Amino acid sequence: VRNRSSLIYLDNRYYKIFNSGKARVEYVIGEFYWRVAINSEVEMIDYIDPPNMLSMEKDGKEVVWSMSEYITPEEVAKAFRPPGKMPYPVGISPTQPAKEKKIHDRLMLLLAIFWGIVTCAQIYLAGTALNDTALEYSEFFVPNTKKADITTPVFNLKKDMSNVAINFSAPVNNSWFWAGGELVNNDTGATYPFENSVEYYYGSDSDGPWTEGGTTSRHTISGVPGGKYYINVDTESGAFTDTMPRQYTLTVQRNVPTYGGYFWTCFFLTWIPIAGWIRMRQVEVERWSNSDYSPYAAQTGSSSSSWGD
Amino acid sequence: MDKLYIVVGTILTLLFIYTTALGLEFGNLYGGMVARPTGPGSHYYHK
Repeated sequence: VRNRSSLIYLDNRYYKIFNSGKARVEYVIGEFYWRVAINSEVEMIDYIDPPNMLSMEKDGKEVVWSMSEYITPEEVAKAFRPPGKMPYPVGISPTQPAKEKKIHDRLMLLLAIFWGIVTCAQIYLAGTALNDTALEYSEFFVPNTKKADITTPVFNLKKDMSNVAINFSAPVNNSWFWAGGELVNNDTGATYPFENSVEYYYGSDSDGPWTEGGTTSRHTISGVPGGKYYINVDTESGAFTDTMPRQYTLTVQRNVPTYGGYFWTCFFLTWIPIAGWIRMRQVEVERWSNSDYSPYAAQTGSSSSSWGD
Repeated sequence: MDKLYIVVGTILTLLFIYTTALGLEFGNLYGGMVARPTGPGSHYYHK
């Protein structure tokens, strides 16, 4: 036994202090395995690790440690066969095993398994993504003006169904470039609208130098069937200091790795384990409400409630 | 609760694998629209 006052280590288990105080024998009824004396007094401490309780009793002459284990009301009734019905259990006893704890442990194991599967799938799918450049197209634009409806050459999107990343790169410098358009299937006429903005600003203020944005932007369209496509683009720009024509580049990439679905799936997978943890905590708060050493003392507020089976 | 989680977790995991393999991403099925830029916003950062 290793005693650290509030914690006892025995046989690979930690027992937490649950109650302490002085106990005095006032009267005796029943059968005992030691000689009981009226008015005898001991200092006692109970430590718990459900379903076990480790109790220490100390008087002037000796220290006695005893181990007890929780048994259900049904087992008590079976052993003693009391007349009539057993009292209905109220609350949760210090050593009563909580099924919520078992459920919580199983949920955490399942969560680890699901996270593992999803993470492996994400690594595999991101690693095997084609990341294929289907089109690289450059065009001039006149700063601070609109340019209507440019059509790119037809290009091929591989795979039956996958995503498409539409990237714009423009030489913005404390200015902005905007492109709106649609990805059009050359055979079916199905369209996928998109808008991109490229902005890059920098400057300096009382906090020092700052920057915002960049000279590229990406927009990903999900679930685009394979086939021949072209793009119609309108462009607009502003805040340029001159109107000298500049060149922007449009790049279309097929089957790029995405991570949004992975993070959302991991997030949704945690909901039920969190509910299980809340339920387990409620039970533990109730158990420890009968203790002067409750780790949840701030939540329970009082240690005067009663328990029993 | 753990049995419910086995069902829900399996559905979520399979849905994720299926949709990711097909390049489907929630909230990104269409290209989406962005406002016309108007100049530096409030989200700049300092070096």
